[in-house]
Amino acid sequence: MQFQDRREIPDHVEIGRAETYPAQTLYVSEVGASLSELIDLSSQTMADAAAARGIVSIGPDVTTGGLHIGYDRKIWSSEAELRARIPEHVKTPRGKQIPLRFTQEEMGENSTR
Amino acid sequence: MGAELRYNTSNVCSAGVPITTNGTRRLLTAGHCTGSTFTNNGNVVGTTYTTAYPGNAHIYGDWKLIQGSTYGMRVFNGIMSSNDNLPISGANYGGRPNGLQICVSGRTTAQTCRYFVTGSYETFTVNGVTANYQLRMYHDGDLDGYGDRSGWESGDSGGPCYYSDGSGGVIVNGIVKGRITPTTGAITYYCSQLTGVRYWDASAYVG
Repeated sequence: MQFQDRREIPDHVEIGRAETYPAQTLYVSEVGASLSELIDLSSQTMADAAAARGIVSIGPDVTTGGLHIGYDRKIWSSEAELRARIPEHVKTPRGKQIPLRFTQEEMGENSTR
Repeated sequence: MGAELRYNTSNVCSAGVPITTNGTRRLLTAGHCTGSTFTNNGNVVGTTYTTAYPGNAHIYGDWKLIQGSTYGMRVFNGIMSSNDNLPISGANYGGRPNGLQICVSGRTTAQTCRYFVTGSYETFTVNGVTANYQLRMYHDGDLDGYGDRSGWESGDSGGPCYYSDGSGGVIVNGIVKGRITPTTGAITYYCSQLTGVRYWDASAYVG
């Protein structure tokens, strides 16, 4: 996990809304990668046949600040199996590891008839 | 938009939104609607101009443009076979914050709303084809806080994904892509964001 603890900035006062409500406290969380970096990491992971096998969906995850990965339960019986293939593909350009959140999924389908 | 597009004799999808590039208005629909000629009520309403699917879906997403007819800037929002419709007043070419809502319109289920966004800019793989720029959602028709299985159905692919502009019009955010349907429990729904169209052509716009 690359999150830092929430940092309170009690004297942070912005113009406008914050002046109207001066008691507002701003909380910030540092995340491991920007949105554009996370999108690139998703694409890179899916471009790697070995890493992408069994991945149904992948994308930025606001819950962790990392990536959310949905995987096919028929191909990977456990998160641990898939996680072992992933780490080298999901580092930021600065070499920082980012959080990964896994969810078991079924295969997807298009909504044609 | 949301009307039927029939192709390959018996396959059906739905009309998406008008997209203008280089001064020409065409119609956006799902790339996985793989026909080259599309009809509605027996009339040809378009032929494929270009498609990102399947070869470039991992770059631009799952969409295609058809051309050959006039395409209105409106979305059907009534029950099936109703002519009720709303004007398209704008477009969102990015993602949508988690927790906010989306409606869709398609030829099978007409308008359905109460889709809640759980992710943007995702990739989604179906039948070995990975498509970029996807909105992930669940549907909660009774607003009990839990996802359900009562959202769109097969044939709604390509129909518009949109939300209210607060003034009687709608802002389109994408087109219907597909679903993940577990044996039990909530279905996960995916819309292809307009982001991919803009990535293909930065000057393209809804209009």
